[in-house]
Amino acid sequence: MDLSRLLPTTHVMTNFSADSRRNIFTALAKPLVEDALITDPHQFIHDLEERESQITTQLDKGIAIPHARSHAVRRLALSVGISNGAGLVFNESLPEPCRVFFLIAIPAFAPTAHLPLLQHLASLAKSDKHLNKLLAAKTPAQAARAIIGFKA
Amino acid sequence: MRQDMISLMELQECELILHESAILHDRKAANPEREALETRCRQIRAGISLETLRRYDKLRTVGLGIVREVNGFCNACRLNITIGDLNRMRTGKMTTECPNCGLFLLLSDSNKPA
Repeated sequence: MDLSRLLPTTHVMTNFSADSRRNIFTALAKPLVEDALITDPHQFIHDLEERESQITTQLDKGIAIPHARSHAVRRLALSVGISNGAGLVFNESLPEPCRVFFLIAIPAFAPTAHLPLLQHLASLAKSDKHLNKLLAAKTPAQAARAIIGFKA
Repeated sequence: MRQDMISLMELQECELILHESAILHDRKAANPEREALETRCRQIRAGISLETLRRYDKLRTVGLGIVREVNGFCNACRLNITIGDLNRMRTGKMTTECPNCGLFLLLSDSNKPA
């Protein structure tokens, strides 16, 4: 899957940090709001929380792929946050903190548009080699290259 | 009819979340959240007429089963639905399916039948 158009460097954050799940969502959504891909950040974050309450989007190996269908989303969009150090607590019922976050914004009018992307990111999460490359990225450009370079 | 469409929309949302969960998580591992959603799906199905469910399941084998009608347009095929058809759907004289793509429609409640 070619992510080059979906993931500009401005949507990737290294040294990512936030003190709560809500703030993680807010920080991840910020570049999408700045690019006018999300029209109402409060509604979108509410939709993310609601989706998260159904089934967690946290995977093994400290990766989370929060996503939500929302009327506040104009088109399919992706942003990435990579945390340094021990990682951030994403789901309090799971002991493992998260170091990599992929936020997917899904427009309500295309509720299945993200499924190939979700599959692609889940495959990336299972590849230790590519995950280590991503975690070793020092700049957003390096991280974006590591993600875009992954072929499932 | 509208209640059936609301239930179908909720059912589809639950099924999509279960599909996402199947991509993200190991299906063999026990997951109480997934089991709760599966139970919810069964409960919703129990409240929908068999004929509607059969048609919905057939549609779901190739994609979505139900979409919203917004401003007179089907949200799946994006084609216009005539006011006459919308009125007939709202008054129950016509099934709430898009005349173009055949998907079930959840009609917006902003417009009353003219």
